[in-house]
Amino acid sequence: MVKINVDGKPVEVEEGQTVLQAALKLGIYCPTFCWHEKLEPIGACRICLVEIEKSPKLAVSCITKAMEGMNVHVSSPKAIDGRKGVMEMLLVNHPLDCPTCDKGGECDLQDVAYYVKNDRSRFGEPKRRFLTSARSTFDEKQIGPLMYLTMNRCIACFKCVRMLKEVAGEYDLGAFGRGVFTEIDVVKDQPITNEFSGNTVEICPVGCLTSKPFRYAVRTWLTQKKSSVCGFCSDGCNLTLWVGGDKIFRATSRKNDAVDEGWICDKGRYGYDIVNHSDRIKTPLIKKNGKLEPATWEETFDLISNKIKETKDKFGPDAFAGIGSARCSNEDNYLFQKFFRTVVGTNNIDHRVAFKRLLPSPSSSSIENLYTMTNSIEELEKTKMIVVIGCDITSEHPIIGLRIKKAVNNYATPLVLINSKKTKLNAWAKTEILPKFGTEVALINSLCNAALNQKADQGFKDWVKTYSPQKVSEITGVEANAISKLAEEISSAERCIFLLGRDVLSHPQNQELIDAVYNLAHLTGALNKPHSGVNLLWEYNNSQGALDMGVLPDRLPGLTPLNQADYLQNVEKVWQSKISTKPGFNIHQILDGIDKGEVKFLYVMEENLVSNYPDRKYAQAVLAKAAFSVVQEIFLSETAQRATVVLPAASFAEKEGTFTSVERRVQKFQRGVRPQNQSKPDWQIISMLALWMDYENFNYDSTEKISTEIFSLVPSYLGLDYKKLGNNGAQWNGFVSKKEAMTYSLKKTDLKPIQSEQGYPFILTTGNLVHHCGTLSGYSENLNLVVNESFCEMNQQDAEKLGIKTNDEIWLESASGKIKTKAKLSSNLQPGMVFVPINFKELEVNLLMDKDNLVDWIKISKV
Amino acid sequence: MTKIVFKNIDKPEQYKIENYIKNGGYQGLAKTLKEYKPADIIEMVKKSGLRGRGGAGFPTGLKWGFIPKDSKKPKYLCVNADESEPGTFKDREIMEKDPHISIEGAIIASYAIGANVCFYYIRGEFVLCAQRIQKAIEEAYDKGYLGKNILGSGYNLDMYLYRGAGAYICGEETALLESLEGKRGLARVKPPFPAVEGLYKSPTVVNNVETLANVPDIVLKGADWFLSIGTAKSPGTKIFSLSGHINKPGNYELDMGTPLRHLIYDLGGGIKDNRKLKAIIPGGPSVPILTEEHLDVKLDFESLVQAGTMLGSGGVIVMDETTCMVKTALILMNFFKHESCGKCTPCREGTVWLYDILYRLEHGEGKKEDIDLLLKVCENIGGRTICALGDAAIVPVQSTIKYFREEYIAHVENRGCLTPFKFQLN
Repeated sequence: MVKINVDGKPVEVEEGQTVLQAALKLGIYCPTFCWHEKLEPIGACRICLVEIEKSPKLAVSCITKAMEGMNVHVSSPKAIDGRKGVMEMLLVNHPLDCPTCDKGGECDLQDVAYYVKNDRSRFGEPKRRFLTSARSTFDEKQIGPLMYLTMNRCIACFKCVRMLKEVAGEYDLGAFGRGVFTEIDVVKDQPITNEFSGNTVEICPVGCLTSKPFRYAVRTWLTQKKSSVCGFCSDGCNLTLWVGGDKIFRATSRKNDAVDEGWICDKGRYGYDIVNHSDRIKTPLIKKNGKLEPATWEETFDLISNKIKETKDKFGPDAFAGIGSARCSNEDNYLFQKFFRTVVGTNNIDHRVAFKRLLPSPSSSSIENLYTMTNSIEELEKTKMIVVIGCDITSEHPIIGLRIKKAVNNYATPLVLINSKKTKLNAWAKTEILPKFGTEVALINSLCNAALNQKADQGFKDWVKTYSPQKVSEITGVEANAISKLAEEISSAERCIFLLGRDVLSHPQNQELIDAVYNLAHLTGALNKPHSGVNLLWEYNNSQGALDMGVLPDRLPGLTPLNQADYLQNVEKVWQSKISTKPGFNIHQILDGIDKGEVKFLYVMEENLVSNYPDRKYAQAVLAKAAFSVVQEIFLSETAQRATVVLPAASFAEKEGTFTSVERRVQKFQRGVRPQNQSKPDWQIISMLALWMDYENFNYDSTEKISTEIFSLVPSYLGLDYKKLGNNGAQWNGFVSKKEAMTYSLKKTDLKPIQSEQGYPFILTTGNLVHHCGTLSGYSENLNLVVNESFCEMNQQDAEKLGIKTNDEIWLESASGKIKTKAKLSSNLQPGMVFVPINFKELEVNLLMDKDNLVDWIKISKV
Repeated sequence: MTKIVFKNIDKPEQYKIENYIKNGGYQGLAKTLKEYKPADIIEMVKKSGLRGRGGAGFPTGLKWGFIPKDSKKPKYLCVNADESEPGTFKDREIMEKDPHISIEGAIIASYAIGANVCFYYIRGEFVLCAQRIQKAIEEAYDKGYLGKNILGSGYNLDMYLYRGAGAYICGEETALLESLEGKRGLARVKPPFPAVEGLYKSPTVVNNVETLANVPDIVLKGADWFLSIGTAKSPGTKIFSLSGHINKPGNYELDMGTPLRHLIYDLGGGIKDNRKLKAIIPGGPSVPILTEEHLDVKLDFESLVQAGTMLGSGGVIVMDETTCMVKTALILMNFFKHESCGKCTPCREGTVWLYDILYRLEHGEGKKEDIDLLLKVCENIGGRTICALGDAAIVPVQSTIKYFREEYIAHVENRGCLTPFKFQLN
């Protein structure tokens, strides 16, 4: 530690910290422009000049290291004079077009000018101008689908270029030219579209970079700031929503160092406009003569409650089924399952609609069935090796991707990527392994074989030896010595974090693959070491919460089995109701139940079953058969269109509550705007419906009351306090904190080779695009400006054989269906594989899927 | 006068390695590798008192000594051949006519600091220099002065030529390193100094061509011999590039401490057309000007500082009575505003501001207050920039006002310049 004095006040800072950091620690304001706490300081703008005793020149505080005994003056006349001088220089060429500048009111240059109180300039010369065209007035240039550049306002802090380079590793914005004509611009006129570009707008200290949706939309001082949490992927970035009236004007980062470090991706930044979308469902709808007609809430509640009573009397509680949502809050999902377990009396509930082969329900009593992220995002910085398996991190979890990049850049953490296709993150990888799709289990077994030690008994050893590197090399297409080398690296890593993503969760051998990784982690010690472990990355903003809340046919809240007597008793007491211990139908059984006529009443809460179920034809057919279906949705989705009753639900920005992020972080989000039109928060709809049916136990007047019930009942959430969740949220650790002491027994996980299908040579894989998440973001007009068209990515050689070029229209055809799209040639995919994004409702990719075939084989032909 | 760097400069085809060797070349290197440990060389250069010839005059041996001995990182030597100071053309002549002397010096320096890679960074416009150096490096490899196991000593060194892209700032050592790394040539914040974190964050020494060209002879003839030349604090010789209104412009290697008058009148043949001397820039435009009264000042580091200026790069620009001082400042400011890298505010904005005021003064739109405003703006730049370019840019303004304020006032009163000579500015 180093002791220094700033303006006469003593302060201690760590060695290597700067004078500026010391001043900030004391709460002494010192203006900055080019400095940013997460970027390498460059000392360029010079506005943070301070006086240091015994130093002849004024020092630039952001780059001057604090030295023992230094006497620093931020407020001395000399320092103030110095900063006045710099401010005068900065304003020399700045256009001072504040009246028409979007940054007005939140501009660092304005604020600092106000702070230094220099109200006149000695500069009387013409100002420098960058002209984008001879006739331009505002000299602005659109540099990307969502970004404008007004170069004349730039004060050359380079934060935009530095942020992209240092944090995101993107190089599509650069500085050009020299001196006073130093220019920020895109490279070779290529529009800026990287997924972190919006952060540059946020950290721009002036109005040089502005976002297209926010320009001239509103003055910032006319808006209110609301604390929110992103409603797209599961990383749980913290957002500030800027609202005015019932409109959201923009979303910015609300820095949470544990999660996002103040950076958010463009999905979260620009996707807010779904909330104010004109296609939102405006009123409740009831199907009359095959057509959905507007109705009142009273009518719909009457209809639904009567139908529930009638169905229950006639067919019993198990004629009901409910589908919850990974998008809804903990409170929504908690009430949803409580409604089904108490008011209805069935366990026929699920939310895992997109998976053909369901993993067993997670359990909190054994390490291998926890099925969650056992480490935290922050721990990625502390581990010594990161192994990503089956995940395009950049697209699925952009902010975890940033943390991985940070680990690689700052701590030289080796990154291993085991994916059947190349991803954007491969540029950071030390080791890339590209096994053939479907052979991953063999690869991991082979790694186990190479990492064998005394932890394995003879039986396991004999079994795993059949996965020799040579043999597995033939199966997977990965070189034998690469396998041995990787096993050696993982074994010798002091700590290792495994991240398993979308492609593992939806893998035909998902459970074997996860078990195999557990075997490997166990053999190499990663299961029991700190900052090490196996992590499953669930996809959506509250996937983890939906699991935790027990929206599962065989789990009560807290992942507790139905038959755990002590807990059941407790729950029954709180819920004042008897609960069935008979496991309910899972998602596939629910649909089969409707198909067979066993399930008469379906209730869907914010889940687009038709688009997301891996067999579109079947889902459509089943919905047509359902005797009565209620769909609670924000848009009239393909599923809602087929419902008997549609209830307009509020989006994440119109309600409050908690989400549980991928790393088990329970985070509170505020209501941004009032529910649009006649929509209501999901929890409120359920609560009102139950009250309509005279279940007084559902009398909740706020989400806080529900949260408090959750936090006092759900084992893993015990001890959390709604009021104290604060800005950063809190992780539930429960069982996870004991994982280091857990025992694990190795499992034999055999490869089951996938069977090819005659005439259908290509394997279909799906996933999210970097600018979209699920089917919801497709409603965002902002995000659609970046990419709004579906495509089929395919291997270059495959395409050449078929005579297909990029942008050619092609047919994708499987035994189940046929869809038309455009081709996109790529070298990222192995031959025989295609990738189709799931984000656009126009392309009904699940038409190609058959729920009974774990692998989707298709053929491709030119239109 | 002793000749060290230029001793063979005019010998025919000295740039060819066989001639260089014939004239005693690479013996310093041979002696180094045979007789001395790296630390001995650093000690010897320290003792010789050799100071950097690029402009700042930092003791060369001391610079080499800053390289950490225990660092596990690779070490680098960078030869700074980005000679861009207006009126300075000494390194150019060395590289064109006797390239091997700088290469030999660079090899010895690399050996002394423990570098196995050396980069020769040449100003982009120096095409012939680049050709000669490239050829010389190839010749040196062929003869075994570069590459693996040099002269059987077990010492390995690879040398690479790198051509700059045309920026004055890249002669500043940290900007040079940025440029060499393939980035924009912007000055880095110091500390850390290159000796600790230089090229690719590794310990690095950046030395000027002329500085390195002195090294072979120091090794061959000893530190004491070098100390016997020049003055006590500025030993050795210095090449002065004489230009301007002078009868015999060119490069002159002089013992340190030679009077300015000797250079201008005896060697340079005096002022053109016998006109009157008005001002002299003794070490490139980054140093304050001198006037006729300073003709007897001695050309060494200390004496010039005493006279209120600096030795700088040794670019001596002579101006006669027909020269307008406001225009001089304007031309130089045109250069500095064009070359300011744009990274830090005072230099980026200030140089343009100064230029604008000077332009008005020169073109008859000046006001009396402008003269003091010029000085105020200079104050606002000086000492507040990352590198020395900002400090250098204000020198022509400050020193011309210091000695020729009345000329500025005349520009205001006469609504413009009375000197008939027109210089086209871009």
